[in-house]
Amino acid sequence: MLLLRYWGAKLAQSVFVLWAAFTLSFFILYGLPSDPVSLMLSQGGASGNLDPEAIAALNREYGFDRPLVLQYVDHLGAFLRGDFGTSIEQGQPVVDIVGRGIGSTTVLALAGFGVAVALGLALAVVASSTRMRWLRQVLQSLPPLALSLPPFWLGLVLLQLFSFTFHWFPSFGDRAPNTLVLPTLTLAIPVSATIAQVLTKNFLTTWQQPFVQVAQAKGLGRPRLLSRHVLRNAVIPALTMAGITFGHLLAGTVITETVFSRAGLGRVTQQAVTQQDLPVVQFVVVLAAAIFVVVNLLVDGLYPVIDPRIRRRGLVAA
Amino acid sequence: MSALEPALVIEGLTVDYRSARTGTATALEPTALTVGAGEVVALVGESGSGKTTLGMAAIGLLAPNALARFDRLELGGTAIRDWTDPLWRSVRGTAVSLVPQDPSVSLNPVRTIGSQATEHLVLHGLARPHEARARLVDLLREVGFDEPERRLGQYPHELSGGQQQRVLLAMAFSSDPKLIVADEPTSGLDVTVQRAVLDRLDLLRAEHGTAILFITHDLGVAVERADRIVVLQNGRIVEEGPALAVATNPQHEYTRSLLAAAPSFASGRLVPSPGTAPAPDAKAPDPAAVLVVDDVRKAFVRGRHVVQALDGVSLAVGRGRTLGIVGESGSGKSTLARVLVGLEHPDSGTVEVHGEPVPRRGARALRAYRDHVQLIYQNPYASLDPRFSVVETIAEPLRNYRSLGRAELRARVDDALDAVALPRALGRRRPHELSGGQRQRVALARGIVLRPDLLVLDEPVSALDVSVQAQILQLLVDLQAEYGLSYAFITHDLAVVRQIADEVAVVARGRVVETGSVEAVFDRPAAAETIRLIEAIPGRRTDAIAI
Amino acid sequence: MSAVRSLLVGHRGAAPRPSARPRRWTRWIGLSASAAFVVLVLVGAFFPTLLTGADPLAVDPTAALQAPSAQHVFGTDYVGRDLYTRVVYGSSLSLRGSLLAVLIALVAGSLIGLVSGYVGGFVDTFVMRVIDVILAIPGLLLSMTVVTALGFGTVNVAIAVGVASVAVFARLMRAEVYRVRGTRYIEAARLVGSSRLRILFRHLLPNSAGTVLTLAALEFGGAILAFSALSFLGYGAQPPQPEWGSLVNDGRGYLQTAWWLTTLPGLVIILTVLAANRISRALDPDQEAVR
Repeated sequence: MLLLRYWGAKLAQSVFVLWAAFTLSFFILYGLPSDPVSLMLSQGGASGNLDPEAIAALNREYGFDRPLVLQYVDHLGAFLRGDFGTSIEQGQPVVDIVGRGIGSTTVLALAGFGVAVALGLALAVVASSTRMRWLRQVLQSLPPLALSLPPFWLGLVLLQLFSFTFHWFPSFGDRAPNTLVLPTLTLAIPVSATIAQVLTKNFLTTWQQPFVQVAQAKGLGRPRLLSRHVLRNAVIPALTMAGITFGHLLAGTVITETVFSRAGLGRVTQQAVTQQDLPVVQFVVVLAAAIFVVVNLLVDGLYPVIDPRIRRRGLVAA
Repeated sequence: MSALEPALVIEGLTVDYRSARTGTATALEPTALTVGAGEVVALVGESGSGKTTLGMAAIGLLAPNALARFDRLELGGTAIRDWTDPLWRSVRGTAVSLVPQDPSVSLNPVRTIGSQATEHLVLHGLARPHEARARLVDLLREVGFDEPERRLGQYPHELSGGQQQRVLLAMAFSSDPKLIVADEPTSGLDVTVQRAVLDRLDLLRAEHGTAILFITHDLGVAVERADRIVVLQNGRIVEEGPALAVATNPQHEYTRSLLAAAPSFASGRLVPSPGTAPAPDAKAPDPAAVLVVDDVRKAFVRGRHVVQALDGVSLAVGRGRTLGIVGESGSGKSTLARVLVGLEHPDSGTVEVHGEPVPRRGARALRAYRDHVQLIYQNPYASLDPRFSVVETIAEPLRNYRSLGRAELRARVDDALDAVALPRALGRRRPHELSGGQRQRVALARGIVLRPDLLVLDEPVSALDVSVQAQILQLLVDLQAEYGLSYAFITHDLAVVRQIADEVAVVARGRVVETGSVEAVFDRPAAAETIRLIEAIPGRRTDAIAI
Repeated sequence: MSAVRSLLVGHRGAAPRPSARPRRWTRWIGLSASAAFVVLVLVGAFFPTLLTGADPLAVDPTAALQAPSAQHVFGTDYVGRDLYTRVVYGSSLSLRGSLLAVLIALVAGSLIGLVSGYVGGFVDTFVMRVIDVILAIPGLLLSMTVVTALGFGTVNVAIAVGVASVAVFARLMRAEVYRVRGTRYIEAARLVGSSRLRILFRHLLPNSAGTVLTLAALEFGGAILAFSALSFLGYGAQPPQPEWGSLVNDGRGYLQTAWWLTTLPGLVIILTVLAANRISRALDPDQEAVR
């Protein structure tokens, strides 16, 4: 009963996040003075004097001439029915356009997530546990450095080095598995730096906890201290980052796919912004919020399994 | 290795701490310490005396920035070469164990009691897993758990602080060590629980014949529990000897001052320092009570529970008198303090100062009320704005209540500084540049600068070192004599009450369970809670001897 | 048998030092170098003629794609424009855009956070829920949304970057207001009769502003990165006006033949961000001050 209420509240919260993301993006996109119709017509080549009649007709067609609140209600209704609108630029349903890119992007994002977590965790463990002072200092200075690199520049430098100089990996394409290596690294390095920073801090504070000292007073060596007492306590609080991390990865694909000329969701987003294709942009924003929500629900479900302090609440709830 | 081998021998130990900001500071000058088999040695000193450094060196766990060396270190007959000697790992958890300071953070929160309290036995090959669990179950029963088997599967957060410390005791004894280092093992616990845990430690020691190195700031506790006392000051051992000898016939001046400062050894109420005279604007003595609290009730809603913090409290404070309000944490005494200064409003009942009820509503009326009643907090650092200088802090009430010229304001602030014996030169400092005692003096100066009728003091000395504590208590007595202040002195420590209060009210479960003059309550305690609190005062053993 | 040994012990909790901090003089050198570099870039942003006499738009087809040399320290691009001059002039748009972005975020965010935290109640709950949602959307995506609505150009991109970090400031300011509001010294100020206004302006604001200003310094580096990313994607100033991000993008087609076109402007971005972060860390009371 209480468990039901707990998950009910979580679900309500998730719905609120989705609704707020939809509303926010709607009012930014449709409330601010953008003029996709003129842009679309001007791309036909006719610069300067556009036909006012044609603009009015298209504005009518897309409903841009109606009061904002009515447009909002219509859009929200359509979203709830699963109708995510039609691309202004390409005249196709938004779902089709996004759907074409999502497979390749999912592969890239998951690979990036795996590499980022592995890199970040390894860096944090070594940087916080080694007794070599110089190594610790070098490792701890890496994440701030990585976070100062513009991701697009990182991608280009990787291309320059590993494609054009050493010829280890192809410079473009998205079919063969080895085309995935450089984009994955470009995507993963900034994210791994964030993970490493948070985890290093957690590890350092956990090493200082009195219970670690108590364990050390029982004669445990450093490897055992790490595996039995420090690791789990340091990693658990970082799980809440998972939702945000996936968001960063999604945003990162915009840059990565542009640099490596890969087809995918990031590329679709980049082009939609260039063309002021409002429905596509809005759908991507809501999608990002949805990914955040789903990942967070997964983490919430996972928490009681790994943290006994939460489990107890779960037991009460059950 | 014979049974008579000393549990610990340290010779020529020195420790310095390196700090990036302040350079190197000496924590311990060359020190030697021996703990005989089965002996209880107490290391006594104030913070910064080096007692914890010495204790932790005995188990090889110094802070990472410690620069330390020794000539000789033997644990239960095992000679250790240096700090990185691999022998450390084999003696820790076998020959020597640690009982840490704060039990609430000393157990791994994500592992069960059974798994973490037996791992060292298996690791050192002292027992197989099931034997280790059986041994732990026996010990848990010995430290007073009624269902030890069930505890093995529990997590630390499912236990109370006292239970956690008993688990740590059981864990420390499980390997049958030669020596246990107990680092202020009760400082995180409630007074009455403290006593229970120390009794437990005594029992276990008697049973197992383990030597204990007992680190404490409380000379009273040390006298009561230890065979031998080692007194440290500024990284040096200043006195060493049998417990009773140190207590009854201290050789070093510092030990004498510690004894005098320890509330448990003080025989009665402090008197004003010589030369303290009533100020011209002191309130004249008046038999009518300044503060009258009548049948005050206050409840809080915590989740779905209602907590009755105050359940019909009545008391009175006379002019120029001190009422000690004593209780354990959770007794409702802190809520009472907040009600007295109008931060919380009672659900029913009245609080009157000079026959005027505390206003229930209205910022203006409350403001007027606080011209007469001020509060002093337990932690002076938290109660001072970090960006305000000493002068600004003391001037703030005057700016709010009196319209004074610049020169007059400054003069009043200087008077207040003089009254609390703070050098005027400190006026421009900010709180982080002051010591704990100085901060509490600033808070006191702010509290008295308006010449209030009543000062509510919420544990004003419990965050301070013993000697500083004594100075502040003396200052309070002097201020009272000088200005005719009335005090509502709230504390968990009956020993402090004996030094400063005229009357005492013992609070438990939101009620006043006993009230009367200090002598009457101490000599003929009636309520069970009072008796428990009196028993919790350490050092009664020496009192008995002194009598 | 007394072996005298002296060594640095690293044992308690086996804990390394909380932050492996470089020694004092190296810290001092790093900080001064950072400050000097930031000053240099700021000079380039506001008085570019002091750093270069050349014209960032002057085309010279005879000198196209020249590698860095004494004459062209950063080399030239595909139509022979001097890359160093373009980077200097690029700092004008990029840096001013980033400053504008931080200013927008700081002012709007602090105001929202202050009001929300001070008013409390339902308003606070609602505002913070919305802030949480904004924080759930990746900053780059949010900026792109705003750019979509406002159109391209340096100022619009700056606004977009600023809007994306409003939430961070609002949340921090609100948390600070809450933290300070709950402290004993605010309660003590009330107890000595201070009025609401006095508490707000003399106690609450001074004690919560510091952290927020520190964040502003830290966000500056982030704003440079976000700004140059959007510029790289082609949403900033239109060609031939130079911005750091768009300069890197211009060089994309010449990765094989002219490495300097992407590498050098990128390095300038990195150095600026590193220097800005270094300075902001020096401002952070938690990391450097004496408390």
